[in-house]
Amino acid sequence: MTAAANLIATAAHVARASWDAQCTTAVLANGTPQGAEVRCLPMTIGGLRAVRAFHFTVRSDATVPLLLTALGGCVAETAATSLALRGVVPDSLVVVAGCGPAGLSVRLEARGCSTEALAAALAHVRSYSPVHRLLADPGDLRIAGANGPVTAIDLPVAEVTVTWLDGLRSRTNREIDEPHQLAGGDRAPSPLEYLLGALAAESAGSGAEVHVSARRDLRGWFGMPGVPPEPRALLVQATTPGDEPAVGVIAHLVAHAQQVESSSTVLP
Amino acid sequence: MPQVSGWFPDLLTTAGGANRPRGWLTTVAEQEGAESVLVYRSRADAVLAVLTGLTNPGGHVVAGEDCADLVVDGLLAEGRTVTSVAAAAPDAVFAAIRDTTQVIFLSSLVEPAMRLTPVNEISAVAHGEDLLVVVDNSVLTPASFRPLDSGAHVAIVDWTGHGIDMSTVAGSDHLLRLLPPGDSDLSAPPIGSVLDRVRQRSDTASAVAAALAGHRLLRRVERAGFAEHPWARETHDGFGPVLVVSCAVDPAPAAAALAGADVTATVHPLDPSALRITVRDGTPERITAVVDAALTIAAST
Repeated sequence: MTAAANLIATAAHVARASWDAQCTTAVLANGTPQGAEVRCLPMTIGGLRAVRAFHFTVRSDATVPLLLTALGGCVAETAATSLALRGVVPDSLVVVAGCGPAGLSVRLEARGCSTEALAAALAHVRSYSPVHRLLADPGDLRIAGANGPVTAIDLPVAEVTVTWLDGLRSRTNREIDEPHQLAGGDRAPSPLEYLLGALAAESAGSGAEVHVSARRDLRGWFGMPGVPPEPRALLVQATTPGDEPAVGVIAHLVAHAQQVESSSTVLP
Repeated sequence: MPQVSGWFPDLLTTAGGANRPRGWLTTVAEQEGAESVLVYRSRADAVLAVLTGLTNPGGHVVAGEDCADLVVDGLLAEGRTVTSVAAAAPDAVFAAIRDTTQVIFLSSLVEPAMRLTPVNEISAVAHGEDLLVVVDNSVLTPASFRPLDSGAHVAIVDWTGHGIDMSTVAGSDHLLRLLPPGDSDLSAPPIGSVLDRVRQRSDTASAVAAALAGHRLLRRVERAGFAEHPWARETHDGFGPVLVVSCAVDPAPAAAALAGADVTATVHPLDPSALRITVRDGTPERITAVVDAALTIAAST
């Protein structure tokens, strides 16, 4: 079964079974002098537990590129799904995700598909990509456990290029994938796990341990009306009593609506 | 939130059920109380398909010790780990659960002691932990016990011991969708008559076990029953066509003497002093007589 057919079957099921649409994603970060070691925790999808036995290291100066990896990976998998649902498999699909003083940006570049199909994919990204939606319009998102108010901050300049590989899989210098319970290939952390990892790494001071989780309703990802595709609540918890999670640029990016410039180009 | 047309199809009118059973599998699904059924060529194929399909690399499986050997190598090769436990002891099962555990895999009937696994008790805890319960129901079949009715998520039956050379996997469509597709081209005789035969053989096996109890050449006769498992009155209609007899003599000559008789007898793979007897056609009296004769031959060799 292709990833698109698998997703349609999953979507058809969760459309009828709201409990099986409830998806919790979580990571645990251990702060080090250089940054953090992040471990993906089991993901729950309704009554299923998807084990995510992945670890990754985040340097303290690389949390924003990791967040852009999450954004670019999520945009790539959403665009690839949109094209696949129309029976289109592009020759190549690349997402350039950027960050600067003006906000965030995503540029979708593809070969081997029509301008109309790519434009539709971009529209679907804007509406249904969970990470894109979370950054562009967090709405009444709550970040529970963060220490103090999340205040405005100067955004650094950074850019990440994500190359779509197949199915829901893509890569930068890190690979990105979904669990096979969500039609992925089980090869790597998901975009949302990278986003939570960036937030956890920023929140965990050296020697501290921070747990970050997010719950979303998959029916939103599948376009069911009235259900937001993005997580509605993030929980940031220091696991050591007395420790308080730190708040920085990632928390600011997640908690406040960002200007996300998005464009698409069909390359010759 | 803006709505954009052309994303997923209208999901509430999309037909699910890619694994919706057809033909003879419809009868299996009805008997199991399952939404979907997949068929595989062998028990090993079915078990590996289920346990890899329902787990991820890095995941952990708690498996009954009588069936762990079947799966350990295949699962380790796929990046999973396995802990072997006494399946009929729920506390041992619960103690083996880790944060990476995804599936509890048990036989509904644990050999050679022929203890029934309390699937309902284990499933109740598993549901609370977001774990899946997979039950190998090959001996009992849905003729005697329906694991899905007791809270299991997936039921596997290897029909080889009942005259059909294949294995079925029954469960809900959204779980079976995660499995390799199986071999839907396989066909089988009418399953209803097979189940009738299993019920009849189950009664025969119980009668044979009662008749052999106290036999001078046997140490014990192992056969599940309501006396040992009173709770099973709520869940079981029988105990399958198998009994295990612990012999005071070498069981190998007895097994050889029973070749071609109304039973299938082998030295038990988990207990070399025991005979595993699967009754086929024949009256309890006749089967008891041929087993008695075989034990006498074994005693004289």
